[in-house]
Amino acid sequence: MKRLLVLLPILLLAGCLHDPVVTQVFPSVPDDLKVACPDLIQIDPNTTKLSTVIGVVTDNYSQYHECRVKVDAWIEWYTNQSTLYNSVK
Amino acid sequence: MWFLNFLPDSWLHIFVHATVITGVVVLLVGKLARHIPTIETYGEILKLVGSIIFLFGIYFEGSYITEMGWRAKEADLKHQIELVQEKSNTANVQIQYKVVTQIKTIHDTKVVVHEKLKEAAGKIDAECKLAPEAIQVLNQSAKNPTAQVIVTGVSK
Repeated sequence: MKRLLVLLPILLLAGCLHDPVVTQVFPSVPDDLKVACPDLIQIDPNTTKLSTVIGVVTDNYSQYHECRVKVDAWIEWYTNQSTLYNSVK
Repeated sequence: MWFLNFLPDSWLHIFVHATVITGVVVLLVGKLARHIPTIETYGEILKLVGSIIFLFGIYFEGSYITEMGWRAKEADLKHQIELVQEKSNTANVQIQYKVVTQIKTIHDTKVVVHEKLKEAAGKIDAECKLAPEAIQVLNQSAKNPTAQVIVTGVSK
């Protein structure tokens, strides 16, 4: 009978809960979105030409549009990916 | 049942059912032992051993069902994660394509505007000479005002 008591720890250990090993990795971001927006371009203080100023302003506008595209893409990326990530239950 | 994690499903199935069946068989043999001359003295022991094996078997059956439930849940989660990762990769490719296309369009438009500006530069500059203050004001507005802001007193 004493020998049977040896089986008791096995019985107790057998009651341990199963721990499922499933890990979900948060998705990676496209590389293009990881690039920070640069500062706006400054105008050469010695210039007196309006065309030079307009050129710089045009570049800055383009810069803004690029950054806007990236911000919009970030919003879209986050909305999509968080919906997908949270759909796993 | 921690040690059941190491056994494949089919082995587990056989092991659990075999334990119950062995318990029942040993128990029955113990009950019938008094009618079998060669083992009649072991009847009580066989009944005891049979009962213990049977009880273990019943316990394992319960654990087996739980274990299978967990394994099914695990497999389902893995399948869901695979599908989500696939969709996530597709979404990433679509966003990347969209960003690259839009930025290319912006660049192309900028080039066109610069070309037009180059053509019209003579006209634009002919009757207009900028005061240095105008440049100063524009440059000041183009500077990032947050670049020199130092945030203090924020603790986690």
